[in-house]
Amino acid sequence: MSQLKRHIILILLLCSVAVVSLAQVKVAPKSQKDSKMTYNGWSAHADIASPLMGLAVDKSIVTGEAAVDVNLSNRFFPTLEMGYGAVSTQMTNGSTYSATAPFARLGMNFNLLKTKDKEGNMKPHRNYAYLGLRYGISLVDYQLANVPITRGYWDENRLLSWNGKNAYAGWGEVLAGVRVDMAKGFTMGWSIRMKLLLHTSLDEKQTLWYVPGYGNSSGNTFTLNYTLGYTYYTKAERSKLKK
Amino acid sequence: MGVSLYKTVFDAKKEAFVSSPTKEKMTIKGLNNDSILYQEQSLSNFNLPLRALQSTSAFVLQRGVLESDTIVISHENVNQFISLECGCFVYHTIKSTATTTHQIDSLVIENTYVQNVSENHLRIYYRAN
Repeated sequence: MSQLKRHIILILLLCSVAVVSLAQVKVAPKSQKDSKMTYNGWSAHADIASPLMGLAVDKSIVTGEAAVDVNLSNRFFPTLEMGYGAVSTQMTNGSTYSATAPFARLGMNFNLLKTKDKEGNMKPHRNYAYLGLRYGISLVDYQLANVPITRGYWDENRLLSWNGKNAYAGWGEVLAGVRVDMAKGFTMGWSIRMKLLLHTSLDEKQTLWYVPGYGNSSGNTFTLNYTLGYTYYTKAERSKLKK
Repeated sequence: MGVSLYKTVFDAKKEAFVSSPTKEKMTIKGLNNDSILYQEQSLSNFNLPLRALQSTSAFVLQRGVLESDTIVISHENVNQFISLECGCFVYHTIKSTATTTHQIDSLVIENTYVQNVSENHLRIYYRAN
């Protein structure tokens, strides 16, 4: 798929998410006292799925990541995710690829549930479903080695290598998920994500074969996150939850 | 590199030399290479493998039982990594050509960028018998 098509698809997805969130905002009747944005708490979570997938499915990939988000009016959840990934793999043709990289994603989750009751008062939210957007960036130290070039007729053979430090890759993500309060602020959640590589610092982006935090650079990737963590509610929010 | 054969003949009606595609019985191999690419095959189009690690590729072409010609292709090579699974492809840019003229009249570069072997990159014009 061409770069242009990728960008168009991403923009359409971003627009659809924005439309959904705006539609939800319009549904609730406006109330003077609740019209301004309110801070309702924060949460911190660690992703369990990516390290487990690395252990269970592909031992050549090790990733760990954690996230913090802030609850604004129970509708908007600005989110920062940070992690570190390492990959080391060898193909049957002898080619090897290894990379290590810290990565970060910045974005927002949008609560899909109604945030106000029939009287226009803010509803407390222990559990919610959401759509989210992210922009991710990864600074990759990588080494691609022993890639063979062969021209059988001329009996030509050579092994090529590429390597680099602080090569960066940026990508966009569209995600959908749920967040559930299990007990006393201890929360879990899961999300599925579609990722689209937008740009890299390399002319030959294929040489960044695997980007920690994104995945295989040759196409769109889907990933699953399962998170466990803690959510802090403000005093006002806790009093609503007790009612 | 895709190659097509042309033959130049004198058209009495037009009273001029004209060129048209031709099919010839060809035997083709790389210069200083014992392996034969095509042996006495009737060809109008064929592919020649350019060298991946050197900038000059030379081939010996024999039409029928006539004296053979040697063509020399000067080219630049660009290595492009595709993926870890597929490895690396080598693309070529033809810079110049040269040929002996026992049977061949001239060479014409049709497309300098050699990426797709199904395309035609070089025309070989043979003189009429």
